[in-house]
Amino acid sequence: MKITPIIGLEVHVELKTKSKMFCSCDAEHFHVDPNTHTCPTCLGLPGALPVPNKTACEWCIKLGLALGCTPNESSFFERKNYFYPDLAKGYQLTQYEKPFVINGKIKIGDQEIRINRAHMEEDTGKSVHIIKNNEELTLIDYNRCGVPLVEIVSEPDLTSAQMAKDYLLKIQQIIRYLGISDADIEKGSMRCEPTINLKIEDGDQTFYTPLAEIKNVASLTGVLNAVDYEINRQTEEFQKTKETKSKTNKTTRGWDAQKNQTFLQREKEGSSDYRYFPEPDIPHIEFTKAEIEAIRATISELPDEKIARYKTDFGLSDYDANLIAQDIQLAQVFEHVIEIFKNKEDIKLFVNLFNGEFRNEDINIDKIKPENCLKIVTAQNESLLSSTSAKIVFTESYRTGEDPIEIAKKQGLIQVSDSSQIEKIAKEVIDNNPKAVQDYLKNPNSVGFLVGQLMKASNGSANPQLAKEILEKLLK
Amino acid sequence: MSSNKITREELDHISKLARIELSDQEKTTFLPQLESILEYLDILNQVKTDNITPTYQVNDQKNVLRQDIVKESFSQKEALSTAPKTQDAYFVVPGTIKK
Amino acid sequence: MDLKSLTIKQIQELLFSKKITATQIVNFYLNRISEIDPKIKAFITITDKVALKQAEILDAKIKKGESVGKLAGAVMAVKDIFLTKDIQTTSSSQVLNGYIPQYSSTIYQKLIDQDAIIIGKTNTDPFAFGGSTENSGYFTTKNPWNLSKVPGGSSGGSAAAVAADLCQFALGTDTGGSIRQPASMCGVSGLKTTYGLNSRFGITAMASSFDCPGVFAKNIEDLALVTQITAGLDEKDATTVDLSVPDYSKLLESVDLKGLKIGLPKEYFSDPINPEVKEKVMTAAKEFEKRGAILVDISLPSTNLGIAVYYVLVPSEISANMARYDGIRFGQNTTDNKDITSYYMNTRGKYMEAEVKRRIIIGTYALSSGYYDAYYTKASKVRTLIKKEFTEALKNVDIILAPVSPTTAWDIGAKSNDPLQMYLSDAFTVCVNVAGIPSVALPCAFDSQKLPIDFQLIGNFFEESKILSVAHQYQQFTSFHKEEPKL
Ligand SMILES: [Mg+2]
Ligand SMILES: [Zn+2]
Repeated sequence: MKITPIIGLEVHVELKTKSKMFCSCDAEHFHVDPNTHTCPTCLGLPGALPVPNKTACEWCIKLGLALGCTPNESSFFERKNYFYPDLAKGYQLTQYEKPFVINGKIKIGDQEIRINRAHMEEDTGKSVHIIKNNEELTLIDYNRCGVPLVEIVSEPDLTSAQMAKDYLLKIQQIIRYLGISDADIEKGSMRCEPTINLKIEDGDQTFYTPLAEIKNVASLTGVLNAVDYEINRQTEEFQKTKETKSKTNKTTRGWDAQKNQTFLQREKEGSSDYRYFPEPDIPHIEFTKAEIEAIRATISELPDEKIARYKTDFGLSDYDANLIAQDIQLAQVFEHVIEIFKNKEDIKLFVNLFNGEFRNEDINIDKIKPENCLKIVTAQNESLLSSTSAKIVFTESYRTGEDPIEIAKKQGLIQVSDSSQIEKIAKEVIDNNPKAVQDYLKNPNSVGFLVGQLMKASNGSANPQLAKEILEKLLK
Repeated sequence: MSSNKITREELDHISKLARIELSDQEKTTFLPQLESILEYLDILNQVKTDNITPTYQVNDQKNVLRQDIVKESFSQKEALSTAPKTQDAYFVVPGTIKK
Repeated sequence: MDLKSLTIKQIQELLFSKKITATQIVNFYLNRISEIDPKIKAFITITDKVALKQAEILDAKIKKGESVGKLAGAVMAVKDIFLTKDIQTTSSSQVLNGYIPQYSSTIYQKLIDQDAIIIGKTNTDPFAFGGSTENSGYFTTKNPWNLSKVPGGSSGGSAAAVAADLCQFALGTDTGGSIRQPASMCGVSGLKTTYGLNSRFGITAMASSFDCPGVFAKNIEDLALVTQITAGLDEKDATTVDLSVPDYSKLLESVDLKGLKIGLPKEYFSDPINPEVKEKVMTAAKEFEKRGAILVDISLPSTNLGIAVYYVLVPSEISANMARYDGIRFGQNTTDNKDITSYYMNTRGKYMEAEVKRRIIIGTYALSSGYYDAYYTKASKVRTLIKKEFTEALKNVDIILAPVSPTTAWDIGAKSNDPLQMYLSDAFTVCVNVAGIPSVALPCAFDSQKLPIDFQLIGNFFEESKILSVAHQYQQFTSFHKEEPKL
């Protein structure tokens, strides 16, 4: 029996526009007093009407273009009707028949994942659940109601939990590159709903298990675990019931991160009927070719392009280039620093510093001083700093802002490259380690031990290359 | 649209979708009324509309968009002023978490 | 001083020449309302305090010689679906009983900004769903010409208030005839503007792609004056059109009747028209012919589809527009519900009137899965046909003349148990809404029972100045609009 998971992802991304999608209320809703960013439109008061936010529409198209999508010539909003207290109007404005952009694709490693669409819609309010006098109540805050959302729908091209995670990371990376959203899964500005079923090949028979859509996955690990859980659950379920996919048996399941399992939320898809129809309050939207190209022109270098450039222009390894380009802010810090660098070799040396333990620091473009970075790399070139010392000095000078050479001097990390001084220490080391000398004479590869002793005796300040050469010379 | 018979079960389903409780009396009154209305609407079936684009908006407006500018919102007090029930500056409904 | 027959212009002359104060004007109307409205019941709320306050401020301005608004001293009644900040707005539904909005509709605000004075909020069918005011969640308004008859609707309260001289002009909305039909039944003038001319912002929505706010007045001159203020782009209503509003008052004489081609669509002069109405409207057409206009027989073959298109699309839009009435942020609610679903069902079931429920059910049904294409898509395509027939016809004629309502006002209760019969009485008004074009209704006769009859003049998109001009000239050689009911 061969089992292949079929996974599609719906990703919702909250755009960081200043105002909401269909009204001029402030779109900020984190740590804001409840119900302070509302107006007739986002409260769904009688008679209120929506007027779409131009920037949000442009950003949706921009994201679509970055995902390789094609814009629709004419788009319009539709009403998606359902009742829930956080949905003030009783319908969500979204795009169903004519999204802004369709048919894109992105690459995850060698795999191509097709994107069905990216459409514009609006967020709902937030609910708080309390118990008061034994009564369960839900409290509603409409500050988030009407904040612009882009929904990115993939084709079911993903075949593992890891791939789903990689896909999400890639989408997140692109969104952050575009600067249109924080795309923070933990904070909820990026949300993900996987839909999963299995293709089961048994001999010459092929079965498809019923679709399950998973809600409330609030972290990347959650996505990984939820998808894995669901693959196992559906495998077991199929063995028990042999039930296969039909038009009516799609279910909605919630993800319980504590219990690490999915649970049934809504039985059959047939019970929800959203009654989509074109929103009469908003005229159709048509961006001209020139407008689309103007939007395209605002797309800065995307991750794949950046990685390629790092490799060709600076000779970075695939690993190093990826590590830097992973996060746009990190890449910006990197590029800010190397602007004053003159050659590839120096940049490579800097990358070794940058991609080391330094990554654990809270890296900030305003804090890093490119001239200090260059001083460290120059000191390394002049053999004043060993690579180990350079790392220590780099972190310290980043934290304190102090001159790296001063730090190195204070900490005694300036490398000794004076042969006579090293020779003096070498002689002591030879005298104190007769056994090691004997070993060396039998096996010259064991010189490392003596070099180590020399380094120790010099408090790490000796140039190790020079130390080795002098030891070898003296023992000849 | 060929069958205009709307069953009581269908009416129950629709009233649930629309979130409107109907009394038995109302259902009894509505059913024949809805049927005669639906029957009347059948007239549309006789019209040939093969190559006709639907009209969703009559005045052919396009691209009416706002600049992304924040303007003043209601104060919290104003926002809540029309609510039948509030709690700690929130609107209140019966618990929505399913047990 | 008896002010009841005076037009806005005439009253303003008295006001500006200090022969009368705004406070006196307001008191005149308040007295008249307290004397007459108990018989007619045009008003749900009488805004006496607000009106007197407005008058006081206006009088002070006049006294100090400060500039005043273009509608200074004009007393208006406002259909109760227009939101009025700090003044109860019920939409004539129990759903909004006691609702005091924290913001105002654009049009109302524009009029207030021009110093128009609000005297009260008028009755309508709930959320404007109906054609007689009988569906109101409060009471039925009576026709000032005969108290046993309906005033028409849905803007029946506004039409009756103008007809009974309880105000100088009134605001209404026309989604399928709700200005023109009550205008006809009450014998006043009413303008359904082109879709997108008047802002819908702050008016409880019925069918968003149909709703057209507009004005009732005693004559076309006043209609032009008020429409001048209401019309134009509203950045809060994306469907309003950005155009420079013509000076309707100045253009009232602009159309030359000589050689004017007036189309008479045969479908509007046949079944279900009452023979008396047909004859009187034809007489009005002949009046134009006498003055050099050319009457042209035309055909609008899809007219008989109008009601069907309307009763698919309008309830569909209604079903979504009414979803916000859930008693959470505003409006009446219910308590002691076992869960959120029963909360919704009980709250909406308890306070919505029968016609509101009926339309939501029809619309929900038409949009539900499996029926969408057969109803919504099909009706939207037929809508294209109806619109095209009008624009094609208006290439060959300058204006279309037609009856407004197949009959004069009917007895209260006569149609209230048969919604379909009620719907069919909109046969001559709905197509104009389906197409989105403007139409003005104005009195042209009385039937044998002394009930008024209006006819309508229909123009192409944004041709308000043309239809108002033709209508105004008609009122220069007739005096039906000056007749007053005995009360
Ligand atoms: Mg969505
Ligand atoms: Zn808002």
